[in-house]
Amino acid sequence: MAKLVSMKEIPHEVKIALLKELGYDSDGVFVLDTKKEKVVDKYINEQILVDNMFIYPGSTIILDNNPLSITSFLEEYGDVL
Amino acid sequence: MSSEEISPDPFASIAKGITDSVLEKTGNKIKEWAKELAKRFIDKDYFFVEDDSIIAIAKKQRKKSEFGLFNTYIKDKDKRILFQMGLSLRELEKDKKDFEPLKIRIKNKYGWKGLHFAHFVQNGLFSKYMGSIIEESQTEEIKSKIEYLFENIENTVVFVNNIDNSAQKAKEIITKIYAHSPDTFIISSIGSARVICEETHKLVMKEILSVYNSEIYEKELEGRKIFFLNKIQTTQ
Repeated sequence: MAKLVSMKEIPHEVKIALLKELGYDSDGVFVLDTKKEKVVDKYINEQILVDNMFIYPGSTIILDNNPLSITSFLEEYGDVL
Repeated sequence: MSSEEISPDPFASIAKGITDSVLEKTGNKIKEWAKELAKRFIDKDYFFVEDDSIIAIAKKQRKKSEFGLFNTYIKDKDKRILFQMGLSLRELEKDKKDFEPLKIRIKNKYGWKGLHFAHFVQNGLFSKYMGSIIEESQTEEIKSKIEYLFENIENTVVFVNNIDNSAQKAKEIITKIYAHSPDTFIISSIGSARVICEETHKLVMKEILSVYNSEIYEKELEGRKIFFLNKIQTTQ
């Protein structure tokens, strides 16, 4: 099982660099896709802030970190966290 | 640690007090760390989350016996999510954390009906409701009663607020009861709304006394007053 890393400890610049490494981008505030469009949380239809992300490996799922999105994720993928 | 040094654990390197000003001067290091984090991520060693307390809240609700009971009868994914949202709202309320953003998200995704169901769970009404039906019902019957409650939450549950007029509220409740004739109707209140709730309940019972009896739950849920109106079952 993957280890949870709290991004609170990771500086903003490193988060953005990490997103770029994963094939995403950022305007400094929001997560952007390769077309420079804001990525939307698939469960709540809200744009995702760089400073409030949940990123899960596999097919790289990026969500807003809130109880509704995390619970929806757990319902879809099982108790993988 | 020197800003040039990179630990075998990139997260440790980053977490050890490296300030933004240092990072500004070490653009290449940022890239190196990000590359290493990305590698660990792709290898499925790591996943990232801003505030891990959100995951803790979500996981905790899934282990609660209330959810286990609900899960026994209801498999629908959205209903299960709403149930867990009700438990999460309760948890945030208990911890005196702001739960308004979550309520807005629930309402935006699931509408008023979904929010009312989550509110129903938040207020501990599901367990009380189960207590009122479980003794006299078969498994399939319980399942259909929960489904009915969920689908008709706006016609079977009323939350009384402290700005409500008891006479008007009673009229609204009586109209709903006559229109839908539910087996159980719930009138719930919290804090200063309890007085109005009690007045409302008295007015309602005057009208429906021959058809419904009433149970009150007050002590167990501190600060809340809840009336369960149960239809009197007549034998033919």
